[in-house]
Amino acid sequence: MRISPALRQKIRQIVFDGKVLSEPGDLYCYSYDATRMSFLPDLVVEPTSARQVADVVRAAKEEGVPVVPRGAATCTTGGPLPVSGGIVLSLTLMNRILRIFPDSRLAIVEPGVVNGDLQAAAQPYGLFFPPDPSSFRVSTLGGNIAECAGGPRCLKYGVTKDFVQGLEVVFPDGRLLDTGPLGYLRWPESALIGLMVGSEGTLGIVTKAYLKLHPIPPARRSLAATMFRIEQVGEAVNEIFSAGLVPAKLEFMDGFAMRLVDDFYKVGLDREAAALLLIEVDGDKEGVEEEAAQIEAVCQKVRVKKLQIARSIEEEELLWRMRGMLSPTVSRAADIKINEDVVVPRGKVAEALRLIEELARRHGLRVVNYGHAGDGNLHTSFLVDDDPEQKRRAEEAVSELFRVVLRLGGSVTGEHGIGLTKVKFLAWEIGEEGTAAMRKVRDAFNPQALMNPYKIFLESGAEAIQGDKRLA
Amino acid sequence: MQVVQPTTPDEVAELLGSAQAKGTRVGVRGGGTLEQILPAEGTAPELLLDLSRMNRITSIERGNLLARVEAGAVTAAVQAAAEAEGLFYPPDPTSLETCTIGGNIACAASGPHQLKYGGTRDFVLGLEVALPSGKPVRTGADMQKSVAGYDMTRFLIGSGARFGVVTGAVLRLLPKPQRRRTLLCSLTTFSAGASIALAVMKGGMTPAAMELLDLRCLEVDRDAWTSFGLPNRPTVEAESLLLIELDGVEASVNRQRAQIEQLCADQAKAMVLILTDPEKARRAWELRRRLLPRLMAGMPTWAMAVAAVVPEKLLAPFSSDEPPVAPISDRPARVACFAHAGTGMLHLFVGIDPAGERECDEALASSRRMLHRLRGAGGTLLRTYGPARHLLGEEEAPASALMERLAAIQQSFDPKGVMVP
Repeated sequence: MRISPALRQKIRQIVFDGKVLSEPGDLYCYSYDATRMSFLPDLVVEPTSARQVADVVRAAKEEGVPVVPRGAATCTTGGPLPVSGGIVLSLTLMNRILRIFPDSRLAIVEPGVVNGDLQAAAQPYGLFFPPDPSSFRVSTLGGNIAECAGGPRCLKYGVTKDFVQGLEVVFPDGRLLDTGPLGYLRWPESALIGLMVGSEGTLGIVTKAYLKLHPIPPARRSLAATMFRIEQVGEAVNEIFSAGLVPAKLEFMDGFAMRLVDDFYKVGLDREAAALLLIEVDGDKEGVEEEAAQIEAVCQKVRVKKLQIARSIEEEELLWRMRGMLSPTVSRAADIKINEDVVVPRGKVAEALRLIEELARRHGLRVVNYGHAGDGNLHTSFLVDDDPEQKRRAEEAVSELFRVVLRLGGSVTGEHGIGLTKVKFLAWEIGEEGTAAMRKVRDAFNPQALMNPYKIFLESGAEAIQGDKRLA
Repeated sequence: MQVVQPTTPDEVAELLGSAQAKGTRVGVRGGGTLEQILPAEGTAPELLLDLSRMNRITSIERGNLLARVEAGAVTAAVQAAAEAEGLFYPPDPTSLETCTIGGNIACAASGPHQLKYGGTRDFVLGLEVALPSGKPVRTGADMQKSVAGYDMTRFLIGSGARFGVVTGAVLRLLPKPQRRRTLLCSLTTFSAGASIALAVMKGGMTPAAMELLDLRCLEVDRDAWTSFGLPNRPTVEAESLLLIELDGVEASVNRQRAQIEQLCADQAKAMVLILTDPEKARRAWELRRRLLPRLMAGMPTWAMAVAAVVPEKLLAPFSSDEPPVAPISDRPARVACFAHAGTGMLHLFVGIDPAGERECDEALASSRRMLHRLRGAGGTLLRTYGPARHLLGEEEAPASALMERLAAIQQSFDPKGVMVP
């Protein structure tokens, strides 16, 4: 894909106060995401307004040039990769928090605002934005919306789609639409918002979002339960819900993950234990006391190996940092970490973990499991040496993992998206008819698939494209 | 028009397939609630699918916190089945005793619980849909978290029958809150009620529900409200009512209750009743739900506007220098306001007796001014109901950029255009 000098010139005029990059070194910087795959774009454009986004999209479309929206590129499935070249449209310069209406619990933001920056801006008003992907310090809200990002707190508060009240969108033909802050209450705007959240940049580009905020709970308490058996995780979760409690977070890590964490943090985690369940309750002071006491009772009933209650902010922060840093911690333990993001109905977590351990053994692979026990979202990570034979076995193991979770009524992705890396598996989950229906939606918005091509759907030639694009 | 009552999803799919082949126009009916308040528009269907016989609650799964239901299942029955298992299905449209889950999905119904929990759109995990082509598909998953492809579930919720017929749904359930408490706060004026509601939200509380009723809403059921111990208006100025439901663990509910009592204590002549008897609480919410039929009663014709504005601007439509339009004697015009106070959704009802021409004109003019002021404050008219709905003004037309895309999707799902939305 080459871009004509005329288009280049036009784009420079449109994005007069933003950035247009075409030096090889610059292009390389925008060629990858967290998958460590790399595809070079022909041009990188960083607009400063919705109008500019719309004009760039329209100009590119007229010349048949692909446009790939990009936030902070923390995506783990290849969403922002310019697979067939073209323009990478980076939204990071559009990073203003336009307004916070504290009494209405509403924030109006541009897509390039970093999740953590919105948290910081809302905090003085006693408000927060509940979706908290582990990448919240760097990932952008536009990216969070494109992927329908989750995070530990989503158990109680809901995922990104539950907090998007309205959107301003540039469609693939360059037209601009703003639903306003109450769009979610009215059809057809609600249908558009429903589609856009989680559409991975294939239906349009979000240029402004109206986000619901939530009051910061005045109190919280964290508990850590060490388990003799992995099944106790599921048992404890079940008992907590049965008691009528919905904690803010219910996170777990298996024994292997505990040892890796302990190697790194030296926090005296039980190296013989089968699993650790991290629990956070929040609310008003009175409610938190009561809920924590009830959860203690549940842990006794389930006969956990040890229950630890964080007594200070430092203890609490350490607990959650261990969880938050699990992904990089696990990465250190192998040349390659294949991190999946599967979901099973929450009653089937224990069964899924047993089957995953078993399939890893059969393929001769090391596997670490951790994730969101409360909503059945498991981050299964296969640890692989840089060895072709092991890589091949890992690929088989991943396919089998998906078969296992789908057999249990689960999903191949809970919060990371299909992107490029999982296109083969979409139809496994939703069937040919379901995929066909989604394609019809895509074609109505993005008929030539010029916006973020090769994502979500398996296109002919995609297999060849994936090839050996992994960064060294 | 032929009416068919299918009993299985396959039957629905087959009927749609043959309708598509023949070009027969197809409509869908659930509990029939909408027909009572929204006059039919456009071409009448030639074939009406009445899904009321597909009303089974297939399973309530405690471990997975979900319910599997057929589209014709009545909302209240689903709620009751969930409660029996110690679980909770929050969406509570006012017609919940008769409306169906399929109907709730078709129109994205919500009710007072919207404030803390959200509406139908927030509690549907997945759908079973018969496409206009006659092919069945599933959307979503059994879990709240799944991002495999587009969120077709949210796309279809609220879209009527344009893109297919929902035959079944997987609903998200929550653990039943340990404690529920209903509060009745009687206040002197509508604006006093609105400001208490705002203060509750500012105080960091999110009640399960918080409904604000004006004087005319109270008048149509005054005896029933008085029976709870609320003041009788002739003796005390009790012109608005905040109906609040708190839920959660007991200590938290008690603290919030105390905080709200404190907020009301700062208001002159305010009165707070706490309904500790669950039966009384149930009756209070039932009164709230029968509000619309009570307002309609005895009025030859009526219209209602549902509008929304960010909650802090809830009072924008109400001008202090404009005298109330309709006398309490109720005839010939009856204007009433009620609101989901925490979410900024406002209902404006106008009952009209054309015999009293002048009063009716004044009532309508005043209502239109209110909606105009609401728009001026950034609010939006969501929809209008009732036989006289045209008198309240036009709903804003959605942007063509979006409508064209939806039309394109409709065209590819339903090439012969047989579906009546």
